Amino acid sequence: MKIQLEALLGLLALSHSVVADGPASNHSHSINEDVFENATAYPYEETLDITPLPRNNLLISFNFNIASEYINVSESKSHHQYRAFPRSLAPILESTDTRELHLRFGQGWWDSEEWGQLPYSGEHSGGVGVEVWSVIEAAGREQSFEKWTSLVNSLSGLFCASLNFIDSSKTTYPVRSFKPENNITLFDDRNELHLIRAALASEPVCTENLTPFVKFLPGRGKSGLSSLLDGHRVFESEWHKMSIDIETRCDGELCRYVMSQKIDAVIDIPRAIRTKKNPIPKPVSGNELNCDLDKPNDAFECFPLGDSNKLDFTLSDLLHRSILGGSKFSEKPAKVCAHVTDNWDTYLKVDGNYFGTPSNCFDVTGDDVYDLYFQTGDSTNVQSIKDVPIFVSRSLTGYGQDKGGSRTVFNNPLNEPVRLLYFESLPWFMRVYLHTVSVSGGGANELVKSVYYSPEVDRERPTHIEFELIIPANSTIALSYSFDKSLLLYSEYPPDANHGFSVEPGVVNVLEPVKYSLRTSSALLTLPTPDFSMPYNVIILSSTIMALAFGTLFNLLVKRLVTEEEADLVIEVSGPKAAIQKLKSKISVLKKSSPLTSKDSN
Amino acid sequence: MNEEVERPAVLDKAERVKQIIHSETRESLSTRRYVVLSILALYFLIGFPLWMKLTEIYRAPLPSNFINMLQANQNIDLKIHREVFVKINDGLYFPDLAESTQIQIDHEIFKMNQDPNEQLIVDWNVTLRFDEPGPDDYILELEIGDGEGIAVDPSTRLTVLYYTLSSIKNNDLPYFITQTVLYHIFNSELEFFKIKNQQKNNKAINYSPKVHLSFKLLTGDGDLVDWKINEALDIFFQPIVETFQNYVNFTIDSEIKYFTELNLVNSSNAITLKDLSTIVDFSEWDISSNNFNYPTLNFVLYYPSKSVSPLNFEFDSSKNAFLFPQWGSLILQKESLKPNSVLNEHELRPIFEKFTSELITLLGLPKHPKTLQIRLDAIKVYSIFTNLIRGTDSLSSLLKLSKSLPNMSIPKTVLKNVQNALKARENTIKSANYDKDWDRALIESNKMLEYSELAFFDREMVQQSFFPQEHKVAVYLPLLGPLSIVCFLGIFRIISEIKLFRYARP
Repeated sequence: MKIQLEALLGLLALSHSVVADGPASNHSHSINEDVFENATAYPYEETLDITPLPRNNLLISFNFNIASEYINVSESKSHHQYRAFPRSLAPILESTDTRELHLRFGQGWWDSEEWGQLPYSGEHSGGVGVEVWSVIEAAGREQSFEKWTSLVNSLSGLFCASLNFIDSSKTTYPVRSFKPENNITLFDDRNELHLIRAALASEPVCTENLTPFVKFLPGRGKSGLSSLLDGHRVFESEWHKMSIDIETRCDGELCRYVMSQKIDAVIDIPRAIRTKKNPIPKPVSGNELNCDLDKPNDAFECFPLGDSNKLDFTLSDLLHRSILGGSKFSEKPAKVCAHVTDNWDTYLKVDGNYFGTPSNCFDVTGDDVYDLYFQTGDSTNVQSIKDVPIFVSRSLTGYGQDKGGSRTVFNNPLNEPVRLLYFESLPWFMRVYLHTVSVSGGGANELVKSVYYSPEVDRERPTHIEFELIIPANSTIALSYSFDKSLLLYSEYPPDANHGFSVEPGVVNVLEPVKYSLRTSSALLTLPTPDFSMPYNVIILSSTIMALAFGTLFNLLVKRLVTEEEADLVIEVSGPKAAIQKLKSKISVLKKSSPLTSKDSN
Repeated sequence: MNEEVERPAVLDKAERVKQIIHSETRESLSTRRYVVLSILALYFLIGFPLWMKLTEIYRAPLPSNFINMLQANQNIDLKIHREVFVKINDGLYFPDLAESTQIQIDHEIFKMNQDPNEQLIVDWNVTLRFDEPGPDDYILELEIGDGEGIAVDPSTRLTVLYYTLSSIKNNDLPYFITQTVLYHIFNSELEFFKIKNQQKNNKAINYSPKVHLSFKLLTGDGDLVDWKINEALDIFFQPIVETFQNYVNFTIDSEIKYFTELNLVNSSNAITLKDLSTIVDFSEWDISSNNFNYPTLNFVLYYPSKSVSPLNFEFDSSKNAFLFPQWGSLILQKESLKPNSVLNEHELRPIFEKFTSELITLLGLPKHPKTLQIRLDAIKVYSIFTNLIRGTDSLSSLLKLSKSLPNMSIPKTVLKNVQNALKARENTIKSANYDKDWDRALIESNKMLEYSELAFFDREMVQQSFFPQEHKVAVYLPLLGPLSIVCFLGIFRIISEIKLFRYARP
């Protein structure tokens, strides 16, 4: 029954993409079940959705879905067969009993007011940095944490990310957020499932994280849509997110991993074309300047206009690469869809020929080199953006180095109340006072429906807060609390301690009226930092004082006591003055005697 | 004129100064001297050692004598005494067979040890027993046959020695038994222990109770291919996995990888043996290092891409299988695979036969005798021996390291690991020498190796986060400098005073 439903959903999703009514609709999770009957094709599919956004931006969304072979859980496994599913990943999941794994890498800022909803309703967009959560099957919490540590350490090596820095002080066990969508079967009935999560906000996501990501695909970046992925181009974008979601799907005793890999990026089209023309930025020559002719304009004066609304570019202009043939690994051809309005022309370019379809969706097959061509006279005319159910912004307040505050503002632009879960995991050196939590604005009481709070334990556990909030229609409320900053141990400070400490983004999951998920920006917390030469200074200063005291004491004990008169007399005779006097008299004696001797010799 | 007036005044003053200096009582003088001496004593006897002690780095006391002794006399306490149960099937009774054979065997081993080429590096011996054997014991059956000869059972540790009545008459039976035992049953084992064979076998991996086998089908281009790996493994590999059970546990996986290109020179299809190491580029193939903490052996079946097929082997093309020491094996195919082809069990048979024989080489198994059990026993016993040697090596390297870096801290965990390693070594010896429980000895010797490596690669020690001696002196210089200057100036003054007084007081 479930399989039927899934297939039906898949069909629906497919029909949607043909009609091309938006980027978010074309992400079917279903993988054709029939594929398994064929000995050589893989349960794999890849799609690329291209959506122009206002202000000459372009959202590109890659989506790769793959499933592993079925494994019989009850049988003792003699050996594991991996075909298209990455062998580097599966054993890690197996050895740590990970039933679900979600990884998010991201940088940049999504402009919700201009661009509308995040792709896939924010379901696959993490916050800034790296975020990972997983469902682990284990007998108890301690065992699950052990497995979690081993999991993140292995992933750290695999993705070249500093996931190995995840320890118990960064790990939370979410209560209501991050709930897995599907039921997960236990492989062993004595065990239980543990949902564990951690995030590293200060992780710089870069090309080295993309390389392993691409290597997971059967085409390994050498064929199919993944051949478009160039680290330099993807990471030069305004906003980019990379996600991996692995779930264990079971059909009775037979289980398999289903993995979905996604890359979304917002590219500034004029800038991307500019960098293609001039890899080294140079000033534009005078006659190429686009001047405002209504204003004073001569050889020395020019008021430049904004970027032109006329666009004419190919996908390879933006990504510097072309599609090297279709995917041979799946039965379904690789699909590229452009979600554009009528005044955009979109063509598939093969061998210098251009092809267009009414739906602007193209199947990519065979060994040819493909490119996509876009042309429009008015780039502001894009598909209507989807309204965002909530705007959230978080900031740190207060001054000084000992305490501070946090203020999160929720703005509901809708005409109906929004019910949401707000999740925050704060580092242990932020000592939150729960009694200072206050909600202002909105006019109504009982905005906070429920609170889960697990206080920090120094160096062992972060503060973990989950609020269930109701934001009334068309209103803005602010959630604020204050905290103390604690001092770290000398060796706990990082090398760039004065840069500040990242506080990971808060997670907002809208439950009603629509399902939507977003992250706030990360915050930078400045902690009191000591002068790092302090211990040496203390040693040196106290040593000097001790030496001074010792010197005085020593002289008191060792030197002989005489009266001042006597001392003066001794100095007069044997002190430095007397010595100089002696020297002088000796010289004068020499002077006197020398002419005499010379006379004698004559 | 003036000079005459002044001089007596100066003299007078000098006289008075002398007087002042000499007016000090003897007691006061000696008190001052004692004060200086006691401060100096305090400085050197208490202050300096205290400073050294307080700024010292913790160095756990390692049992260096014992480890050095072990390193110097390797495996002096290990006795490998095998047992063979002799069964006489024909109801004949040889009253002195046991004794005379044992004498011959002992003599043969003694002779071996005298010969510098044949010398054994461990106390090895074999005892004949005539009582009832257990199920896993070595059995030598004596049977009357048409002529002298031996028959080896390929699946159990049973050897049958055929003799004739004339050999009894000539009293050759003890000689036959000795020959059979030493040069047939335990030949491989003895070869392992001979001094001349101690060069390290570079092909084989170091013994580990768990080994991961990874089978890979690689193709140069992206056309779909598949292989019946599950079936092939069940047919060709499962029997081996079962026989190896007690010695090593295998975990197996397989994968298919596309777009793995050869690094061909000048884009020609020619492959020479010389260039093979550059043509086969594992990093480009992205054969991910495994996440297991035990060794992995890779078995790669490679098909080139269409663009370079057929490959032009500039060597005997039937020898297209290559063994990579301690890494695995690669079979390079000449022709590319047709798109959508599936390699079935029959096509995989020769490939898996090759892989099987390479696996045995990679595990370091001897070639003789035919019985796999006996070969496994030989490598098992030899593994115990090498584990102990490697463990001892690690421990003595640890000692060397700690000696060469006197500023390095040696945490307590290192000491604990060293102690555990020595304890495991003791247990190995106990199980090997007294219980003759080789499986247990193997486990214990692995433990010894593990602990000794844990001790050597201790995180705190390897991090090298220790201050050099100069650093310590630099930080404490503001204390040590003034103190030393004050003290030494004090001594200097006292010495000059002594001189002054010697001249002044006759």
